[in-house]
Amino acid sequence: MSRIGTSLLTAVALLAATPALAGEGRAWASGTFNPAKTETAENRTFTEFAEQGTLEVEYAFDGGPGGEIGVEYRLRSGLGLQLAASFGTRDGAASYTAAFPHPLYLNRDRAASGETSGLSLTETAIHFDLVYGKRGPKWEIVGFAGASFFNVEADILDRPQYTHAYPYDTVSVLAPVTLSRSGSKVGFNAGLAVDYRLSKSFGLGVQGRFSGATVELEATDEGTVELDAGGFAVGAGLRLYF
Amino acid sequence: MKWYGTVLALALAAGGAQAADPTGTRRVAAGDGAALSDWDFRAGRLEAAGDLRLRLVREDELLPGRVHERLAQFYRGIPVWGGELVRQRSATATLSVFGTFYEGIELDVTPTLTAADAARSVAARGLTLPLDKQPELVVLPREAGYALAWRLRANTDPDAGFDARMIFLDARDGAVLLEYSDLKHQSAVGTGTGVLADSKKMSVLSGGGGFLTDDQLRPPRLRTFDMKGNLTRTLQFLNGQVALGQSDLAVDPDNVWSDGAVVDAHAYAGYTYDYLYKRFGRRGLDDQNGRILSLVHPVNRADIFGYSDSVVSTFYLNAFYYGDGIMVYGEGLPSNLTAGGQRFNYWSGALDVVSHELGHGVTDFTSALIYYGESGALNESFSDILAAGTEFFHQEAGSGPLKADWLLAEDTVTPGGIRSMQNPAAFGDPDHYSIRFTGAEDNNGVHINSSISNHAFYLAIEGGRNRVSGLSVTGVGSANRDLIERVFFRAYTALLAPSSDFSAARAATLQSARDLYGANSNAERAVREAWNAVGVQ
Repeated sequence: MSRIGTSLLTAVALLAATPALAGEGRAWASGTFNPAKTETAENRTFTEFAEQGTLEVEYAFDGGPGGEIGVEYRLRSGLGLQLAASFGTRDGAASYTAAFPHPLYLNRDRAASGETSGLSLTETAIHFDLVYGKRGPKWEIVGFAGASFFNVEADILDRPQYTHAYPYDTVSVLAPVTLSRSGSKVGFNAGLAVDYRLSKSFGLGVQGRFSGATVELEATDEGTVELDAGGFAVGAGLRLYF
Repeated sequence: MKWYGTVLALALAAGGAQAADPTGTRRVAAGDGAALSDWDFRAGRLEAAGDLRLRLVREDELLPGRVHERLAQFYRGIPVWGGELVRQRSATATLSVFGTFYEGIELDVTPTLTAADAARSVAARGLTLPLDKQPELVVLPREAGYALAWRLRANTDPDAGFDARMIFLDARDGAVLLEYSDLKHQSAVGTGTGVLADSKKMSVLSGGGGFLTDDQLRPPRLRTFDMKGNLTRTLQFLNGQVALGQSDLAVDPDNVWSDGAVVDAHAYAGYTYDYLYKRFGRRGLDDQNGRILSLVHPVNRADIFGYSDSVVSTFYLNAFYYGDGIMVYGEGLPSNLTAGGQRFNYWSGALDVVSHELGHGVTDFTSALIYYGESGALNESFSDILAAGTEFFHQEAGSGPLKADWLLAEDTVTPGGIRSMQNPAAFGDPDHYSIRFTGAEDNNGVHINSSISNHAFYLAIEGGRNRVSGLSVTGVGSANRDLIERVFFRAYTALLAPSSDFSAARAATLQSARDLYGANSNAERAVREAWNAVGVQ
């Protein structure tokens, strides 16, 4: 089972076990939106025709929707612990510049460039935080910070395939091909949540969470793509108190 | 409490579905987990819709119980070129899905061009469509999007070098969208170190546990044979008594070539072919991609004292074009010997030498200038002109090793080379028609009087003052050398006859300049001034 699968199962188990603990707590489910654009670039090298070629790619993933669920267990004096799981998706595009070695001559690369869209990025994360809250009869404000475990699955560009014919001075690049790659990394998060109680057990809330980690995705050639996971996500949703 | 877990699972499942539904080209490599489940599900759904069709089922030869299914992609009943998923299954489950699936196709699949139109279009190019390979309508993925295309596999004329061409014609207007050779050569590209310790690429053949000097990337049969110092076998081949085969090709175990004579003969033959093609649009010596065979090491340097002067002169101190696309490159002298105060390295180590010899091949297949007297001098001059043109095309201008200049063979006969197009008198060669060689030696001076035409060519490009006539020429300039190269190439290959003399060469080059660049063009003026300067009317 993958690391993210194991982590999610652990989160589920913790969530399920939480009500068995003594004391108060709350759980939530929110829809979120991460407005920040994620941009990254990579430089890859590869060997072709006994010479080194290069591929430079710039990726841009737009902000996108997501969701989060979590549970908080209150300890004392406003302090508590919380565990949350979040996910988010983004659509993206990439532009590339490649230098393909010439098959017949040294140091006479054939240049190619292009763009492709329709890339996707999916990010899941488990957040484990220390919480400090101020609670009133109706309103509740909670600040939190802690560690995050990210798993990112994203489309990255494979080395463009091309056709060429004698005298091989130019290449005709075929449709860019994408590869789905995933990677994980531990990072951090911090944020603020404000709840409004509708009843003893239910309420509504908004939250903002800033999280971050740099995840490395392995490319097919000698190179990696470094993606900034997380960002600032805002959300709103239901609250359940116990 | 179970309720929370269910929410989490649903939320994550929703995220996974979103990630697995992008548009565009998808390269699938699903070996386990959610991606495999997703692609297995999608493949089943696409198969039910007819977008994937079972093309082939094979039992795994190494793992009993495993089956591999190849699912070809179709769009509205038309195969998508290159779109295919390969599904590995056991008796109970799908174990992996690999392949490429193209998404976002939006095409009208009704062709404007019929299959017969497509076949006629290919036939009009002189290609033969095998009876069992009729045009097939396909969706062709390209960088610019998808196109409806006729796919044809047609063969070229064997006399021009057999090839099987895969051709994709736009089904709307017949334009060629993609074309490539579909012959499955074992082409390989290595690197080599030339005679002068420079690095270059080697286009070779992979096979037999090593690499062989048989260029698979250029259109003609371009091969380099290592005669391993076996003069008897070399002569037997030239006399037609034995044929050279694959075992005579130079061989290297790791494709990092270190025999400079082999490296340069092979690479420079390719450089010359490239120059002829790129500068003049000519396809090799015969313009039909005929064979180009280079023979190196016809003798061993160490054996020099066992041979006659004639053998030494021919196979040590010379290179020659034998005819029928065959070049023989002399071995040069042992490093402790000189001739005429000059050292002789491997003759294939100079680009201009290789190009010069191949130039004789071009002449053989075109004007066939008789190798005697003035026509012979023009024959030699054309090879020198081609040699200089090839050098300037591939090397930086300058002086010293591996630089383009107006000397001949300066990279292998040191110091100084054997002729100068800029200053023929420096080698005792005439730079004016009035002082031409009139003796019987050297076929009436073919290597001597060639300098008159050589110098005219030089002056037409670089300009300058002729030493004898004192006439000045305003050349077209080195940046425009291609103008004069085309003028002379066209004149010497297309306009001259076998027994042409210098006067005919003057008239032909002027005609060529007018034809190419117009009457009174800069090129015509420069050529006229150049011939005037060297005294040819």
